[in-house]
Formats: sequence, structure tokens, C-alpha cells
Amino acid sequence: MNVPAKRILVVTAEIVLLVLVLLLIIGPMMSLFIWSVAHRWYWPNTLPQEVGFEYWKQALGMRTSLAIGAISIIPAFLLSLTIAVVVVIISMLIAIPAGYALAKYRIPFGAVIMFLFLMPNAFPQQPIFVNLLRVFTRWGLSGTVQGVVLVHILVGMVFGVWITSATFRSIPNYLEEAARSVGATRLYTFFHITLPLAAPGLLASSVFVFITSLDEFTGTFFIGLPFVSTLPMTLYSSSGYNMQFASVIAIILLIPSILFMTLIQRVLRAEYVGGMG
Amino acid sequence: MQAKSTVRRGLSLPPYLLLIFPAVTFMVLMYGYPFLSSILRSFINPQGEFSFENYGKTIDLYLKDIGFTLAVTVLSTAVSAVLAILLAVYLRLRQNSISRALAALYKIPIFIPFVVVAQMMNSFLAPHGILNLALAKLNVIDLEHPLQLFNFYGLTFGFVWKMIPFSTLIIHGGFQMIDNSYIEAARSCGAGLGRVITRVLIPMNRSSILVALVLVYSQIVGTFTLPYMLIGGKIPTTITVDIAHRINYFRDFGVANALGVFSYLLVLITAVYYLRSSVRKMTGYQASEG
Amino acid sequence: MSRKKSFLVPFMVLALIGLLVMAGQGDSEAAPIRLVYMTAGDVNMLALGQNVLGPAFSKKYPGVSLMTVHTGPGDAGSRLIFEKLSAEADSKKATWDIDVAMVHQIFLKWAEGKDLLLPYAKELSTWKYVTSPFAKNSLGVPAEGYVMPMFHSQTALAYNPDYVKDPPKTYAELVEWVKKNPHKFGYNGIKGGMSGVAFTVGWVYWKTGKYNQYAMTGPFDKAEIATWEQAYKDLGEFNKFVTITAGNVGTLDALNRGEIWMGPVWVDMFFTFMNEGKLDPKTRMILPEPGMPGQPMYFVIFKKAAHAKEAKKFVEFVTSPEIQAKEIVTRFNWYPGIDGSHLKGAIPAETFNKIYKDVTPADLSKKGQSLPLAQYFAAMLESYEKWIK
Repeated sequence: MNVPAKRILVVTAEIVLLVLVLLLIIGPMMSLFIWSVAHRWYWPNTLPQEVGFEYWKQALGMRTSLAIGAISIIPAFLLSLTIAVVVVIISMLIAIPAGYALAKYRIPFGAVIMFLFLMPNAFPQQPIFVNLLRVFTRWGLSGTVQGVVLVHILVGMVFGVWITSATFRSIPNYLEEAARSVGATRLYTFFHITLPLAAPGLLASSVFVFITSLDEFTGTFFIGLPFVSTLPMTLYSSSGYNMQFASVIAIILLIPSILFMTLIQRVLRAEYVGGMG
Repeated sequence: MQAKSTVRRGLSLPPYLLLIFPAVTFMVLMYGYPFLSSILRSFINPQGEFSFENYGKTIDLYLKDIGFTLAVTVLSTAVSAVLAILLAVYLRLRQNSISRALAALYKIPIFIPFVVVAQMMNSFLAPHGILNLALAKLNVIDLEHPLQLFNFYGLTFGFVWKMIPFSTLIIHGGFQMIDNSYIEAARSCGAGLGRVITRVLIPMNRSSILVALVLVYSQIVGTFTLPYMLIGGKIPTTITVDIAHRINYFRDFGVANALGVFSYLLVLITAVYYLRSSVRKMTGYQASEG
Repeated sequence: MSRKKSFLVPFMVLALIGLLVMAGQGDSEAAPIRLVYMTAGDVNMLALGQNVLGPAFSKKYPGVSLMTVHTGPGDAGSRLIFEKLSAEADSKKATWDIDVAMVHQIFLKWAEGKDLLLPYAKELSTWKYVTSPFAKNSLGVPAEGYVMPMFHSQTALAYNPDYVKDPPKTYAELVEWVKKNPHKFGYNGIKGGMSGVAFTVGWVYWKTGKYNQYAMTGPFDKAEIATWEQAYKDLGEFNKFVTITAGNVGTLDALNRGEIWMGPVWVDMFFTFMNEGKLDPKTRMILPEPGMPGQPMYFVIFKKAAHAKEAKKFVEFVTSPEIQAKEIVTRFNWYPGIDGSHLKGAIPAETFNKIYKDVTPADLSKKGQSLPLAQYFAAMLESYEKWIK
């Protein structure tokens, strides 16, 4: 096969792939978009009989009518956002050194320690959080923002440590050793050689911690009630029951996560070729 | 290197201790007691005595569900991993407008929480849902006999939909760190695409791939909302739905925690495999890296 | 590198500000009394509390604000309230965070004997309006004085009249119907929603004929369980001709999408879905013989509530005939928690006709059953898992 023909074939295949991925990703999301503006939708119509932005207005606090059982989500939204930012900062501050140590040193029981971080994900959350609630109540942390922040760090830690550790592990030692051999200190090497190289992995790690916190429900539910109310809790309450309201919340929840990711990507891209894109 | 630093600083404590101390202490403090308490409760029967009764009941009533959970998890993880690797390879090797569009597009499901994915899949995969309606419009199927997807297959689709972007992000990140020179070197030796993937890209990125695998696997095992909305009361269902059922209707923490231990064991198997291979790799790889 | 640092700094400043703002918010609740009201149920309960009851209550009692917190639908929501309560009791705090809650019947079973609730009901001026046995007994647990029913809900079979011209009037007719219309009846088994549980319980009541013993008088006799084997085997046979849905919402969704033509639903959810445009207005209901269970939702006040006095006023407020008529019945189309005769005249005829069209008051009194006594209830659930594979 001559080169131009092969090129065309490859490009066609790429376009087909793009269209397929587009359909597969946007397809299920269509129900989200449609429900968020549906006022009346039942069989046999393929599309809603009546559309409008009532639920959006309710959610954004512009209207308060009870007929449709929705409330303003702005306070919960802002709270979720703030908690997520705090959680990312604290988590990464603890996780990056831990990830580095686990990658570069032979720690006794290193495997057990790695597994320790995986445990909150491995064991179903409900029974554990019931116990945690008792502990937190005794410590006066239940129903507080601090308590919720701690829970979010707990469930996000696995993404913090595992991904950073894998990232650091992929950076060959000789690069650091080369820098050290010309007189650089440990700290300098870390900040100027290791960290930049590890940036894409660390970015992935912090994005997941952010999203995990923003979307976290079970732990927040148990520990946060009654005084702390985050957006996922409102979402969960209405999910399935009030499809329209739930869809509006879901779409609103997308925004900060996507913003966070593009923001950090832009910062990185400016300095490093290739970034995470 | 380590000996040098210890001699210089006169300390007998290894340097990594300070680095991992905050993280490990945090986990032990926060998670240690609730976790041990759960395991303990699984051995306490409704009369308050130590017994294996809960495990007996779990196996009696829920063995099928445990098997179902294992099957869904393994299949979803395998499918996600394979497709994610292929997608990540594609994005690593091609840089044109199509690949850039794909790079932006594939990430979207990452930002959607599972509870929303559950709802979306409910609307999308229903017998008269969007997918079936679309297929009926294209005359591929007949609406009287639509595709039945509120089962193992629909659940797998839902998991894969959410987990491929997650895996791709991690694996692609790993591929990013592989310098082009390796790929070009292999190409110049006459390696075709397949060889480049299997002999260069995947082996050099093993740690990221394994991390993705274990994280995906454990996330699937622990997911509640997706199976709850798609399958709910059907038989069989997943461990997480059964745990919720035991707790909500019976406040039966004994069986709930026993089920949890089974779920935990399912994850233990893969995690152990990962950790053993990564520890082996670390001792061998670092020494021979060049 | 400098660009990266310059990005981190504003980020951290933002987070710090955020922390301070959040910490500050906690202290600003000094002046008015904040009544903490935790409710199970779906998001309508949250909206009702926040948008309607809260402002109306504060208008009547200035100086008290209502904080409505929502724990989710179904028994799971009530369970969370119980977990919170028992954690607080264990911690030996002087006063508890939550003042008043709205819960399902099962809550009383869990709280039995643990001295967690305040016996407040008889002190209220609205106690005299409550006549139903549900106010005195919850799944066999004596509850008199500890609860006030907020509203009552009932299960019934919803059906699409376009396809179901002659709906089955009894369980026996239903069995015949599903054989002629396979997979057009849907329910959720016993996991994932109470509508399926109610249907199953109603089935057992029908097959055994022992409703009185299982739900009203007792006693609990373990030997009864073995006699249910045939009933469950029959149910297993029945299941072969039906669609199993995911839950309460699953059944309603399937009805909505035309995938099934009939299924058990909670009457309050039925009307809510219809009002929200998610169910075709022509969908009808029928209550088959010998009947199907229903249950109320209760107000409970906690023993060491910080604001017990205000909590009592709040419950009195919501169970008053005015609020019951205006909000519970007219706005939400739910059955009232107090005796309906006290609301005569306060409900517009249109509303009355709408909610009692298919399930009349006579139907309710004859065919509205209770859920079984707690031990029978648990046994019925486990039997389903044991005999239906």
C-alpha cells in the first residue's frame, strides 16, 4: 500500500474513533441535559413534553416556589468547593513526601504501608463510617467542617500516595544522582530536578484528590450531619426522586472539577512540553 | 548514600521516617479503630457472643452475590485496562487535531460522580431508555424486545464508562515520562507498532499501569450507587447492595461487616500482587536502570 | 519555577480565607434559637422544611429559626438518624445536636428500651386530633406518647389504563393477569425499596390469611415461619412472569417509560411524580383485596434535645389542622397524619376528589394494612432471601 493511501486509512480510522468516543461519552450524558430542563416528560414521548429552566432558577436561588421541591444550592456548593481546596492542599502536603519515600527507599513493611492507604477504598464504607461517627462524636468532631475535612483526606489519601509514589518510582535515580554529584543538595535536587519531572503524575494525583473530595458523599453524610451540608448530599437526596433537580446539581458539580484541571494544566503547559494533555 | 547522610548528621533514624510519618500516623489514627472495630463486629452474633455465625449466614445467603461482584469487577477492570492502554498509546504516539480533541473528550467522565453516573446509566440503558430508543429509530432493534441492560452487562458498561478515563489519565501520565528516544530507537531497529507497545511502552510504564489496575478494581468493589440504581433488588446483586440491605432493614452489623470482610479479601488479592511485583521491581529496576 | 510558585500562593491564600469564613459562620448563630430538624424521606421533605415550614414557623414564633437537614429516602434515612442519635447518647453529651426528627416506623423498634426519646405527644394541643392506632403502636412497639404522625402513606398498584382495561381487583386475579401479560408487572423484590417490601408482605398476608396475628396481636411464634414456605415458592413462580425493578423509583420510572403497565407504588410518591411531570396524568391506582400495607411517618423528639420546648411547638404547628390541610393534603396530596374528619371544609373539593379518586377513604379503612410486628417483619424479609433464589 502506498503511503498516501495508508495515511488516509489511518486518519479515517481516527475520525471513526473520535465519533465513536463522542457518542459513547455524550450519549449517556444526554439524559442529564434533557432532564435538567424537563418540566414534563413521560411515555410515549422521546423528548420532554414541556421544557424550561424552573429547576435551574430554583437551584441558583433565584426563585423559591415549593411546587417542584428544589432548594438553593449555592451555600452547599461554596462549602463543597472550599472544603475540596483545603483537602487538596493538606493531602498533597502529606502525600508527596510519603509517596517519595515509598518510591525511593526500601522501607520495612513498605508493602503493608502502601496497603494501609488503600484500605478506605477496599472496605465498603458504610460499616466503617458508622464506627467513625462514634469516635468523632466523642472527640467533638461530628457535625463540624473540620471533621468533614479529615474524612475527605482519609478517602483521598490513596490517590495522593499511590499515584505520587508510582510517579516518583518512574523517575530514574541516575538523574538525581547526577545532580548530587555536581554538588546540589538533596532539597535543591528535589525541587529542581525531581519535582518538575514528576509534575504530570502529581497533577493527576491532586486532580483526583480534588474530585474525590468534591464528590464525596458517604463519609460527609455520616460525619457532617446536621450542620455541614455539601452539594453531594443534596444531590444524593434528590437523586432518582427528583430527576430534574438532581441533573441540575450534577451539571453544576462538573464545573469546578473541569476548571481546576484546565487551570493547573495551563500552568504546567506553559513550562513543560507535553503536560498531561 | 544513606550511610553518608546518617554519618554526617549523627542520627540513627533513617531519613524516610520523617517523610512518611504524617501520612501513616493520620491513617492509623483515623482509620485504625473503626476498621478493627468492624472486623471484630463481624465475629459477634446477634446474642453478643463471639461466633462464626455471621459468616455462615453470609455464605448461606450471599455466596452468589459475592461471585457476581467478583465477576463484574474482574471483567470491568480487564476491559478498562486494555482499552485504556490502547487509548493512552494512541494519545502518546499521535499528535494531531483529532488526538487533541480526543484528549479533551475522554476526560469528561472523571468529573462525574458515581451517583450521577448511576442516574445517567439508568436513563440511558433502560428498556425504553435513550439507547434503545435510538437503536429502535435506526431499526436495529424492535422496541417490544429491547436490549435488556439492567444486569451484568449494563453494570459492566457503566463501570467501564467511568473507569476508562480514570485509567487512561494515569497510564497516559506514565507514558508521558517515557522519552521519545526510546521509541525512536526501537522503531529504527525495525520494531512495528505492536512490538513498540509490548516491548517498550508497557514494560517501562508498569508502575502506572499496575496502580491504575488496583485503584480501578478497589473502586468498583466498593461502589454502591451504580449497582443500586441499575440492579437493586434483582438476584444476584453486588456485595455493597447487600450490605446496605442488612444495615438498613435489620441493623445487622454482624453480617454487614462479614460481607465487608469478603469484599476486603477480594481487593487484598490484587493489591498483594501489585505490591509484590512493585517491590521486586524496585529492587531490581533501580539497580539496573540505565 | 517562579510562575508555578506564583500560582500556588494565591491558591493557598484562597484556601485560608475559605477556612476563616467557614469558621466564622459557625459562630454567627448566637441570637435566634436554631431548632435542628432532621428528616428522612425524599427531597420534598427538605424543600417543605426549608421553604415552607421554616419561614411560617419563624413568623409565628419570632426568635426561633428552623434548620432542616435531610438524610435521604427510605428506611436508610431513618437509620442514619438513629446512628447519629446513638452516637450522641454514647458520648454522654449534656445536650444533643438534633432536636426533632421525622422518621419511619422501624425507628421505634431500634430505639426501644434505649431511653432516647422524649414522651411529649400527650402534652400537645393537637394530640386530641390523633385517633389512628398507628399513633399508639409502631410495628408492635408501644409508642404512645412518643410519636405524632406527620402524614400517612399507603401502597397501591399503579396501572396504565390504556393497556390495562380491567385491572385485577384481588391478588389472585393479579396472578392470573401476569401470566397473560408477562413482564408487564414490575416490583423491586425486597431490596432497594419499601414498595416491593410492602407488596411481598401483602402477598404473605393474603396467602396465610393471618394478618391479625402478624400485624396486630402477635404473639411472635417462630414456628409460623416454616408455614410460609409454600407462599414464598408461589411468589417465586409469580416472579417468573414479572420484571424486577431496582426500587421505588425504578418501578415508577419503568411505568413512566412504558416498560411495565402495573406495579406497586407509594401513593405519596405517585402523586409527587405526577405533580412533577414525571408520570402520565392518566395513570390510575387500585388497592387489591385483601389489602396492602401502609405506614405513617412520625415526629420524634430526643430526650436531651437542646431545644425541647421549641421542638414541641414545632410538632404542634405541623400537626395542626390548618397546616395539615394546606401543606400536607393540598400541596403534596398526602394523607393526613391526624384524623381526616378534622380537616373537612379545609380541603378544596378538587384536591379531595383527586387524592381519594382511586383509593377511597372506605378502601383505606378496609384494605389499608399495617406492616407486620417487627420480628415477623424481619422473618418475612429473610424468608424471601432464603426461598427465592
